This record gives sequence, C-alpha cells and structure tokens, in this order.
Amino acid sequence: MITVENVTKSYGEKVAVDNLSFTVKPGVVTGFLGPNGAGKSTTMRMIVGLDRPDHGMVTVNGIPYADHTAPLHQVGALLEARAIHPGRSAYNHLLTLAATTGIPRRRIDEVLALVGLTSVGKKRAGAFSLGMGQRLGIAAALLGDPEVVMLDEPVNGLDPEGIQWIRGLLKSLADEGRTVFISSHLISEIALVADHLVVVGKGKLIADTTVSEMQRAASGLVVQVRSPRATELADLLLDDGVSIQSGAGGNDLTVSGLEAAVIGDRALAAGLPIHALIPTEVSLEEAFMRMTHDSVEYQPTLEASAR
Amino acid sequence: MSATLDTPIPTRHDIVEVAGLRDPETASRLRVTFSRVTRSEWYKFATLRSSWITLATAVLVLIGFGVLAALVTSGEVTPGGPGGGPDSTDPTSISLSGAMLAQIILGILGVLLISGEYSSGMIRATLAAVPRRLPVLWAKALVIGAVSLIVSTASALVAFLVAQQILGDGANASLSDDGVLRAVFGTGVYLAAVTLMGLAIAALLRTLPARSAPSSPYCWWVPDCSS
Repeated sequence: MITVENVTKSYGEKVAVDNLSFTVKPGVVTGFLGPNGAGKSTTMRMIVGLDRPDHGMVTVNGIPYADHTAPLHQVGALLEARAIHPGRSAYNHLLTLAATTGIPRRRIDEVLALVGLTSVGKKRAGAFSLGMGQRLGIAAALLGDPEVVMLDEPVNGLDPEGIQWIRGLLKSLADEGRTVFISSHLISEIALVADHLVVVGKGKLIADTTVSEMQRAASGLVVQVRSPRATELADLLLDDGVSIQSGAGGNDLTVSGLEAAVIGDRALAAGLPIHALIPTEVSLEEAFMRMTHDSVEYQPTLEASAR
Repeated sequence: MSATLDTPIPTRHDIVEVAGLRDPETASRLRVTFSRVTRSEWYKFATLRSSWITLATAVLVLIGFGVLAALVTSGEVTPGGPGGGPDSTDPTSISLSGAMLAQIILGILGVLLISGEYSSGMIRATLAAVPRRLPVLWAKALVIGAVSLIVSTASALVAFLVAQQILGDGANASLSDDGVLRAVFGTGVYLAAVTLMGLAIAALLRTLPARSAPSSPYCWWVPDCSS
C-alpha cells in the first residue's frame, strides 16, 4: 500500500508535483499514467525517499519509506534510467544491494533465475543490452521480496515477448497480494498490464479510475446520428460541452459529449425521427489524449510539427 | 560500441518455485545495520576492477619512486632521521619520495568511489536500499580509509626497506633510528587522509548545485566529477 497525501514538490520555479493525493492498493496492478514531465518519476522518487516533498506526506505500508528497518523488503523499485555501475557484474550488483539488508545469497540466484540472467550473472552489466539491463533492474527490485513493487517505465526497452513476460510477472505479483505500481506515458502499454489507473498531468491528479471504467467513459461519448431532420436535432442537442459536426448529405451528425441514450430520449421527446444512432468506440489512446491534452508539458508548436 | 549480450527471457514454465524471503524467520533477520552497509561498501569497492588498478598504481608509484630516488642518489647522504628542507638528502625522505605522486592517485581513488556511483546512477539503488544517507558516507569512508591506510603503510614500509638496502651501509637509516618509524607510518596515515579528502570533496561537490561543479578547478583533473 502506497499513500500519497497532498504532496507538492517543486524544483526552483518549476512545480513538478502539485498537491497530489492517491492511494495504491495491494492485490492489483496500478498504472501511473501521464505525459512526459507530468511528475511521475518525481513522485516515484519521493515514494522511496530519494526526493523529499515540500509539502504533504508519502507513506509505504503506513510509515515513511526511510523509517522502515528493511526498506528493500518493503519496496522494490526500478527507477528511471539505469542504476547500475557498468563495471560490476550482475551478480555483484545484486550482492552489494543484498548485503545492506542481510538478504541471503540464495535470493540473488533466485531473482537472477526469475529474470533469466543466470547464465550472464558474472558478466559486466555494461555489456548488457537495453532489455537485459531492464531485467537486471527488475531483478534488483524483486531482490528483497518486497510488499510493494514499483517500476518506472518497465516496458521500456523490452520487445513484445518481454512485454508479455513482464505482464505475466506483474499479474502474478499482484495475485500474491502485493502492491504493484508501474508508470508509463503510453496508455496502450499500460492498459495491457494494469487494472487500475492513476492519471496525472502537470503534477496534478487527472483521474483515479480503472482501465475498463476509462474505456467505458471514453467510448459512447461520440455518437453518429442520422436523421432526416438533422438541423433541428442539432439545435436541440447543442449545449455546453457538446460539439456537433454535420456530415455530408446533411442527414448525418457526429455528436460528441452526449451518450446515445440521451440523444435518443431527447429526440423522442421532441418528436424528431432518428434513422441511426451509433455509439463510436474511442480508443483508450484518444481518451487519454483528450484527458491530458491541456496538461501536456511541451506542446509541439506549429513550426516544429511542420518540419 | 561493444557487443551487447542477450539471453532469452524465461517462459512462465521456467519460473520455478522460489523460496523468497517470506517466512517469518528470514524476514525478521532482514534489517539495515551499519556493519551490513559497511560490508556492502566493501563489496562495491572490491568488485570493481578500477579500484584495484588505481590502488596498484599507487603502490607501484610509492615503492617505485622510492627505489628510483635511492638509485639516483649519489653524494652526501646524511643518516639520522627525517628533517631538512627540499634539498634534504635524508635517506628516509628519499625512500618515501613516491608519496608525492601517490597522494594524487589515492586522492583520485577517493573521488572515484563517489563519482563512479553518481555518474552510473548506482547511487539511486544505494540510497533506495539505505535511505538514511549518512551511514552510506561513513561506511564508504571506513572502507576506503582502512584500505588506503593498510596499503599505504605497507607500501611505505617496503619502499623504505628496499631503498635503504640500495643506499647501502653508512648512507642509510634503519627503522630503529629516531623518527623513522614516525615517518614511515606517518606516510601511511597521511596518504589515507588524502584518500578520505578526495572522498569528502567529491561528496561535498555532489551536494552543491550541479552548475557550480564545472567551474571548480578541482574538476580540471578529476574525471567524471562534473558529469
């Protein structure tokens, strides 16, 4: 269980995390989603005490991370970028971490086997491919057999097979009752793995929802409507938060912001005939883009996108 | 670019039953202690080839320059303990003349211990394992201080004994002479102190804003220090 309560963190003028609150519960995989620069990494760093919040409180299983007697047994974290000295072998890297907490050596062999690095355990980590470096990072995260597994962009550098593998791994960790918290800026990646979603933008909480809820909310909000009296219908439906585009022929409308049922009911009440009423599936991607559009840190300028 | 390794990802079938650390007895033994952090720092030092290469270079310089100085020394050598100024022909200081260069190498060794950890990002893993930061620094200082003290003192002793042998009877000093032991062991202590100073400066530079680091003259000769 991770609890983030009213956390604010700024670097100089720049506010990285802005009064953020959410809870990550055990037993499910929770995705931490947001565009680049939304404060995901900063939040994760604060969870393991690498950064201190200016305001607010971050606790892991009830107390601040640094107050745990065996932190690695509480949280296993894979943070952005590599945290591995390239000159040290995979085994020795894990050995230096295990030694701090008295984790027995047999556990090092276990996690190396778990990520499939047993055969290269004695090789320099600097020679590892991106995917293997990522797997070593995951091995380090699992080293302490932690209650909470937190991975920043775990899918980075993994091929489709690797994504499949990590999905199975994360699911089984969650099934064992652990708290699993993973970040990504790509919803397509995270939707494959996560059940729950915490969406942030510009350091603020945008949504605390489930993947299926988000999918449901996203779809059905765009409806294709065909009516011989389309113009009258459009006038009827037009409201705050509703946008209507009329298609070719004058009979077709694309209504966004209203559910199909509402459109049908209103048309019936006004006595307007409807020939077709088709809710359109909106991809998660689109839903996420819409959700975070206002909070994308670096909007491409016209000039840049024209290039 | 060096060739990258690649090994297959285990299939679900490969994930055998793991014992983990869940049983209460194992779990109860898990905790961060200072001696464990020190042991971890020792592993960190000992598992890098660069540590040993730097250390070996310091030993080589300390003994080699002492021997070289003894070989090229001719004319008046006045035994009777250390003293005198830059022109001293005191046999003890001749034998320990490698300390001048060795201190730079050992200073760099101290710096590398910190800068290597920051530039590689390893520090994130370290501080996640040991969130209280000061014990990490003390443990590093303890490990590198002890290693440097032992190696420097032993090398100084060897340099002294070999150089005196070369200088020959009448022109040399012996360990029992007044002040000689202090000079030899003092060299070891001094070099250990310089190593710790390198460590301390590197650690201090890390706590300053990154932009001020490149302007420090220290960074002109310390690799990685501004990265």
